[in-house]
Amino acid sequence: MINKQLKEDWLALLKLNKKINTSENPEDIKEIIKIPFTPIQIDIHLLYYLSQFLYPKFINDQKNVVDIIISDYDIDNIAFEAFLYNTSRLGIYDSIKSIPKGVVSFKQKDLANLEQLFIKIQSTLQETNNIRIASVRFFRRKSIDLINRFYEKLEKNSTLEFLSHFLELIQKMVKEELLIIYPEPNIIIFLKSIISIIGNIKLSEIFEKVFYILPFFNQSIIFHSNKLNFILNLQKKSTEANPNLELTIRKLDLNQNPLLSNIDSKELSNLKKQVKNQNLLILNFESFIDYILEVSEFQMPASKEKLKLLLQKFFYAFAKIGRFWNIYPKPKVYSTLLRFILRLFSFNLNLRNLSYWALPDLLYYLIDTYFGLNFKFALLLTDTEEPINLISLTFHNGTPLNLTPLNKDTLIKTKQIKSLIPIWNSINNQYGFHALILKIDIKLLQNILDTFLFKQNKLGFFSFLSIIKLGKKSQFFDIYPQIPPFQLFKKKNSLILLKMLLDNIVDRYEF
Amino acid sequence: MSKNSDTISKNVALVRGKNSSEALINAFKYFNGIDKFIEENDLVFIKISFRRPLGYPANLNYDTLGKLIDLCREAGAKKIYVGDFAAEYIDSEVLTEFMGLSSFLESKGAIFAHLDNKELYPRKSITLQDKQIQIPSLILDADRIFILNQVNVHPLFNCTLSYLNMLTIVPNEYQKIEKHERPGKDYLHLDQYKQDLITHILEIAEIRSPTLIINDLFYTIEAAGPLIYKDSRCKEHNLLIMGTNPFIVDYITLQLMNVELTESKLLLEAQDHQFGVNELEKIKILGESISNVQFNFQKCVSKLEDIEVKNCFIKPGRYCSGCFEKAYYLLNFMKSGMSKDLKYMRYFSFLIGDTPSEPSIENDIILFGDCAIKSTKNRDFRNITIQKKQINTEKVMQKLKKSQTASPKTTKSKTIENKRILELPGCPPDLNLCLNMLIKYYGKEFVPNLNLMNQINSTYIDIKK
Repeated sequence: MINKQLKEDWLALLKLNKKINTSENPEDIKEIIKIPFTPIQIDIHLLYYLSQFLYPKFINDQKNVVDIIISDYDIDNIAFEAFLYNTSRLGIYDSIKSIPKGVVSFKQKDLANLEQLFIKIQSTLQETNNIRIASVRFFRRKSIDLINRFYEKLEKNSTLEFLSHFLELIQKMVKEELLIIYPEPNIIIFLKSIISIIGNIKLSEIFEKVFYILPFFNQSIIFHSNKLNFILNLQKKSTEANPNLELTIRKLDLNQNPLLSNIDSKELSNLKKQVKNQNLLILNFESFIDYILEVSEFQMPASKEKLKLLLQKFFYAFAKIGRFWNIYPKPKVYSTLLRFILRLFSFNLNLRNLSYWALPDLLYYLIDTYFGLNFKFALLLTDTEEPINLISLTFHNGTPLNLTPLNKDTLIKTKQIKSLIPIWNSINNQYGFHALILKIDIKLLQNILDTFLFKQNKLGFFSFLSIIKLGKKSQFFDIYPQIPPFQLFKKKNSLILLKMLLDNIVDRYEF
Repeated sequence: MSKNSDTISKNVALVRGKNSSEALINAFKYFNGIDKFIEENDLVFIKISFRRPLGYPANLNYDTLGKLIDLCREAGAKKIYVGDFAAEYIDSEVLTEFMGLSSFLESKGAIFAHLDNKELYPRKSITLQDKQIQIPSLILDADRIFILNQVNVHPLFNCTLSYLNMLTIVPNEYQKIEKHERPGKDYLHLDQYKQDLITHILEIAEIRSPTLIINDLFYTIEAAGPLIYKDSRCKEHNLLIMGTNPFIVDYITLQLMNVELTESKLLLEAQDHQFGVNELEKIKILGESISNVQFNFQKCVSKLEDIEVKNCFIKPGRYCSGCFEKAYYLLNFMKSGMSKDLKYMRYFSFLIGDTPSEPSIENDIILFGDCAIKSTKNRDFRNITIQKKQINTEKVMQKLKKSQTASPKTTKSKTIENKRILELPGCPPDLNLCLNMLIKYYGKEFVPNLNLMNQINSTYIDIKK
C-alpha cells in the first residue's frame, strides 16, 4: 500500500534512531541519511536533534503515537491498518508495530467526535498493548495515494520542484482533511486558517512566484543552539532551463558561540571561504523556533493587537544583533565611528536602537488612517513595467481576511504599464472598490532583499538612500490614488525624508 | 412622487444586503424604484461625506456611491454632480485627486463639484435668522438632492446623522457658530454652544430639503470616531436606511442602534422644530424589522478623562461641547498617532475648561482653550519659586584653605514665570494650529511622529490659506 522507497527510508530512520537510543557511545555513529519525504541528505545526529526539538513544540509533547489508515468511504470498519510507535524519547521514532486488523475498529461517523474516538482507541490499545498513546494520526486512503505519487516523483525532481510539490501535498491534505491529527496541533489550525485566507490560490504557486522574485543569491545561515550548530546553504542558481534552488544542510562544529559579537572571526572567516559566500547569517535556533511557534499559535485572521505584538517582537529581535542573530562580516552600518559621524549630521542611524515598541503603532496608524478600517487593495507586480501578477487583498480592522487573484489579462490592456488609473477603474468596476492599487517592480523588491538580507554585510547609509531614490521612480514603485503619505514620499528630498524616517524608527536616546 | 409624497415621506426602507450595491437596489425596490425620485433630464446633486483624505469608513463608501450614480443614470438623469465642502484649509481639488474620487466619478459619468471654487460654482446669498450666508447655486438649483451619509460614531451627537451631513452644504465659514453669551445665562452650564450649534444645523437643513436621504450603515466606526483612531472599531452591519425625511431616517437610525430619542438633543429639537413628524407611530418601516436587526452601538467616551493618553493627566474644569469635541479629537490623535512622542514628551497636564483643577508644576502644562487660559491667569502654577543656595565667598575661601569649620548656607528664593506652559487659544481652538504649536513647543526632535504627520498633512492642508 505504501510506496516501497518511502517505507525503506522510514524504516532506515527508525533503525538509526534505535541505534542511537541504545548505543553507549552514540557519537560514534556517523551516518548520513535521507530525510523521509525529502531528497535532502542529513547527518543522523542533526536529524535526531531536530526531531527531538521540533516535534514536541509543533505537534505533540507527549509520548506514543498511533497512525491509522482509514477508508474514504463509509464502511463497517474504516480502519484499514494501524501502526503503533512506542516513543521512548519525545519526537524520536525508533520502533513500529503493526496492530492486528480488527483491534482498532470504528465507523466514518465516529470521526465526527474525535475526542470520544481518541479515548476509545486509547483504552483499546491500553488493554491490548499496555501502552498509553498521546496522539492519533488518521490518514485517509486518498492521502496515501497522494503521498505515494509524491514520493515516486521525488527522485526525479529538482529541489525547487520538490518544495513546490510538497506544499501542494500539504495544502491538499489539510484542505481536504486527508490527514487528521488528534489532539489537533496548533500548526495544523494555523495552516487551515492560512489556506482559508488564500482561498483557491495554491501555496505552491505563491512559493514559485516568491522564488521568481528573489534575486540570485547564495546564502548560508548558521543556526546556533546550546546543543548543536548547523548550517543551511541556500542558493538560487541560474540554469539553462529555469532558475533552481540548491539546498544543503549539515552539522557544524564551532568552538565559539557565533552569536556573540566579539567572536574570533577566523573561524567564521574560514567557514565563509569554505561556503564561498559574501556573508554568513547567524540565527539563534531556539529563539527563531519560538518566534515561528508564536506565529503558528495565532489563528488567522489574527486580531490587530496580536499582529502588532508579532511585529514588535520581530523588530525587537532585529535590533538585538548579537543576541538573537548576527552577521559575519559585520555591516558598516553597525560601525560606531560611522554612527557618530552621521549623528553629527543629525542622522540617527542606529539599528540597535530600533523603536520596536512604537513602530507597529505608527505603521498601523498610517494604514488605518489612509487605507481605512475595511478596505481592499490591489497589488500589481511588474518586471520592467510588464505586469506579472495582480492580486487583491481584503483587510478588516487591520487584519488580512483574504487574498484573491485578479485576472490581469482582462484588466490590463497594454503590455507596458504607463498609468495605474485605467487599471484601478477597471478593478473597481469588476471586483468592487479597491482603496488603492500598489505597483511594485521586482527590481525594487530584489534590491530591498539584497540590501537587507543577501548582501547585508554591505548595508550602510547610502543603501537606505538608494532604496528611497529607487522607490521615488514611478517605474519601480507607484500607487493610485496617490494618498498623502505617498505624496510626501514622492515630493520630499530623499535626505530630509530619510532623516525624518530615522527619527521615527530609531530611538533618540542611547540608553 | 408628488401624488404620494405624504405617504412616501413617512416611509423608510431598512434593508440588508450582501454588499452595499445590493442593499441600495433593495432599498429602492420598497419605493418602487429610483424612477419615483428622478425624472428624465434631471440635474442630480449627491451630497456625500467627504471632508478629509481618509480611508473607509471615515469617508464614504465608493461602492454605494458608484451604484447610486449608475441608478441615477439609468433613471435618465442628465447630469450628476457629487460634492461636499472639504474641511478647513483643504482644497477639494487636491482632496479628490489624492483620494482618486475624480477619476472614479469620471469612470462613472459623474462630476465632482468643487464647491469651494467660487468661479466654477457661484454662490447665492440667502438670509438665515438675520444672518447672510452664501450657498452654491448648484445646491439650490439642482432638480434633486440626494444625501448619501456614512454613519459613524460622533462625540457630540452619538453618531454622524444625516443632519450633520447637511450642515456641510454651506461653506466652512458658515458652518461655524460664534460664541454668543446671553445675559443672565451661564454659557457653560447650559451648554449654550451645543444648543446654538443644533439650532444652526437645523436652520441650514431647512435651506434645501433633500429628495432622498440614505444613511449607510454597511460598516460603521464605533468606540472612537468619526475619524480613525487607535480605539476605533469597524463593525459590519450590512444595513442601509433610506427615506425622504431626514428626521425619520435619523430617528430610525438611532432606533436601530438602540439609542433612545431622548439621548439625541439634535433629533429632539428637530422633532419640535419642523417637519411635522409628531406622531412617530405613523412611520412605516419597509423591509427589515428593527427588532431583528437592532444592534448595540458602541458610543465614544462622554468624558475626556476616559481617553487614556500615556503620560497625560487630564485636569478638566467646566467646558462647553465645542472644547470637548476639539479636545476629544486632539487627545485621540495623540493617543493614536503620537505613541513615540508621548514617551519623549514625558508627563504633562492637560487643562481644559473654566477653572480646571490644579496641575503638577513638575510637569509640562497644556492649557486648552480660552476658558482654561483666562481662568488660570492668576493661578500659582503660572510662576515657580526657585530656591537658590548661596555660599558665602569667604567661607569658600576658608574651605579652600582646608578649614575645619563647616560653612553655613544661606538660601534665597526667586519667583520666575513658569515657562513650561503651552497655551492653545481659541474658543474652541483650531486643531491644525494646535498641532503646529505642539511641534514648536516641544521641538521637532522630541515629537518625531507628530512632525511626520504634520509633514503628511502639509501635502494637502494649507494653513496660510
